[in-house]
Amino acid sequence: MSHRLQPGRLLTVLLCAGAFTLAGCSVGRTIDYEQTDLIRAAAEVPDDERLDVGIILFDPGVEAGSPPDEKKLVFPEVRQAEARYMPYQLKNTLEGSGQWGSVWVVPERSEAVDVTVWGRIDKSDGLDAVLRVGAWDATGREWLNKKYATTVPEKAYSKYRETGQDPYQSLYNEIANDLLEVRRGLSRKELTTVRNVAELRYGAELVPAAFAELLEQDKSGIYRPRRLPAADDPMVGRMRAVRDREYALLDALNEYYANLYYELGKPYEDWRKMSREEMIRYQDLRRSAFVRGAAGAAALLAAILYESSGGSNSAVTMAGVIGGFEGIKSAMGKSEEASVSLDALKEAGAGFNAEAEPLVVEVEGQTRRLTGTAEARYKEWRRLLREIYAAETGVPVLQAETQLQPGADAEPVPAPQ
Amino acid sequence: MDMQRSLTPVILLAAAVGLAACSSTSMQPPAGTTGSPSSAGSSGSSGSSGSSSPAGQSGAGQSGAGKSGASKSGSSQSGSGKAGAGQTGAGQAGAGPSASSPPGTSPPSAGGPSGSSGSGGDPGADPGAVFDKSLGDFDGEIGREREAMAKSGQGSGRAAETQQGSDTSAVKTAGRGSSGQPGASGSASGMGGGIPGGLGSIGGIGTSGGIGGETGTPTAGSGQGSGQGSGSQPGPSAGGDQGVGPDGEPGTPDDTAAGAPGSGGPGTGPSTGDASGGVKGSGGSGAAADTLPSDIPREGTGEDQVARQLREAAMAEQDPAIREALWDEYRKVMGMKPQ
Repeated sequence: MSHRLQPGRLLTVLLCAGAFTLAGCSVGRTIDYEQTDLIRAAAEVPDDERLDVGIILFDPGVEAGSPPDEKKLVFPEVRQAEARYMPYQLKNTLEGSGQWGSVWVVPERSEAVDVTVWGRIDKSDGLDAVLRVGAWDATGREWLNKKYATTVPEKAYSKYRETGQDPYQSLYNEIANDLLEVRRGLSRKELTTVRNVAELRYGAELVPAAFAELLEQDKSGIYRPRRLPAADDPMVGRMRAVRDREYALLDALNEYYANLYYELGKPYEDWRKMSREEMIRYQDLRRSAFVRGAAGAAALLAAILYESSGGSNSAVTMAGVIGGFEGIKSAMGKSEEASVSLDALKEAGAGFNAEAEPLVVEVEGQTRRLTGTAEARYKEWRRLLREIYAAETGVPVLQAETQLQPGADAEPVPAPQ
Repeated sequence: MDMQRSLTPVILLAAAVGLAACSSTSMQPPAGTTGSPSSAGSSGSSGSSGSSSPAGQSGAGQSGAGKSGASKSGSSQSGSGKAGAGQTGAGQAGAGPSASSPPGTSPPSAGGPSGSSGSGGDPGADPGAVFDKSLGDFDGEIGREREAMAKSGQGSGRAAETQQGSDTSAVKTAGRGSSGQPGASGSASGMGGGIPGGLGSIGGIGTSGGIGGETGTPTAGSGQGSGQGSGSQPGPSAGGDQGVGPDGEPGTPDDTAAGAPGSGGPGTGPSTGDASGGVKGSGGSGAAADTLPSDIPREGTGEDQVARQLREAAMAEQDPAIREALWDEYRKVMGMKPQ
């Protein structure tokens, strides 16, 4: 008995496979969604466990002002807006959990907070969102550095969903829960150390001569307090006074971000909702076109093989050829539809892009104006505090600063990776 | 003798030039410092701008030459009002004491020139005073910024509106007995960001004694800074969250006066608030004391988050029926007897 597949049988198999595939591609695929719930504090979290969090504006993943990448459906202004919107939603989520102290969105890294969170938007089209998120505490210890992805279900856009819940909420909840897990893994003593180091680092940035020597860094770059300043040290009081002003500045900045958040909320959600539907449609059409094209090509190939191997039934050959051409024609039709869908996506993206741009420009202008003013003040305060320090200790500032331990220099911040 | 006579003006001139040079190097007027030295006296009260102590100290009096030892200018010298003009007068102490300045404190010694200008209180003379004044100025700037934003209905004030709207709809929905709508559930717990003073960070500067007045009363030594609060949150009614003074003392009743939703201020009273209280504090101050039912404790001790949010929502609510429903919910959460 020969194991060779008879041409007729081969064609039948191929045609059946083609038919099944064609039937299959007319049915919608199933998308799996995972929902992560936010862990909220069941009771008041003790003050010494409530770390202050600063969320740096996210990296949009595209250059500002670059032309839209219509192939990848990435619109720079949309991303710029998201880079400000997403941190604010994460801030809301962290605050809503009741597990943290003050949470701010910060334009750049601030020494005034205990934990710094930063993220990069890898993908966001209303259907899928992918973020790379990192978090570090003031000692330099890395808390997180991982990729978060979510696929958004339709119900996430329901108008009946819980107030304040973003369609990407699952992703924010996951980040918040991960941060909480790390914080829970730290002892109370470690948390106190984080707070102390944060304060000392802030002080060291402000008056290095007074505070830098109180800190040390180990080989892995982790900060530790060498000793703490006296509780009644007037310089500590002044440093805290300045830090309070930084908090006030951050509060004001967050008002601007809040403004952007609320102004952007509705159009952003509309865009995401529309984009999600269109994206599913587009992906389905693309997949369908591919499958139909492949099935048509297979049918044609089978017909050729059948004919070349001496097939005697021309009806079979004809059926294969006609089926193949029909499949390819149908694939082309689907591609056409996909291209219409793609145009719709581009149009929606461009529309929202244009809507988001002035909002982003406005908030950016406000932020720069405010931070510029504050920066001038900080410079002045630094100078004055150094003078005061020199007056109080009798040690000229330069001398005091050069006497610092090498490891205690104000070294840079662990830059978000 | 002639020689001596001709040398005298030269020496005097040299001394004068020396003094002038000395003063010009040490006098570094802070950015934004305005007004003449004489105005510095009255601007001592502008210190009131600060929520706090440092601002008050900007009253130049303390900076009077010799006294300006840094320990004096420490932030422990709170009580903005105290730095009022009266003290400033002392600034005239001016010149003389400069000799007693601590070593190395060249800037204070520049109090000398203040003698000539009649402004021992010139903040430029003492880094401590300039520092305090600068902090106060900054508080004023930020306060104005937030005030402007609150007035234009921008910022997180919208969150409060949103929250109030959702609370209202939730209560109404609950009232109709229609259950099963996700919108109704969880809206009370909502997102912290939307709750006035909910979880701290949005508390706002306008809180009791937060970033207080802009201009002090010229009446010397009154110690009262009066001005606009700058919070952008609708404050819960009086007593909801008391301001915290520099030493952790509760704010004075005046601190918790009047505040319209969305504006937070104006608050009048001694600027005893701690800036940090303002920044990180919880909630602002506000009016609507009449919205507090008799059985609800003013202090809110023992409240959990949900209860606190319900309290704040109830205090901000204008509709009596909805407010009562919120209070009922609050009582339920707190295990109190229903009314």
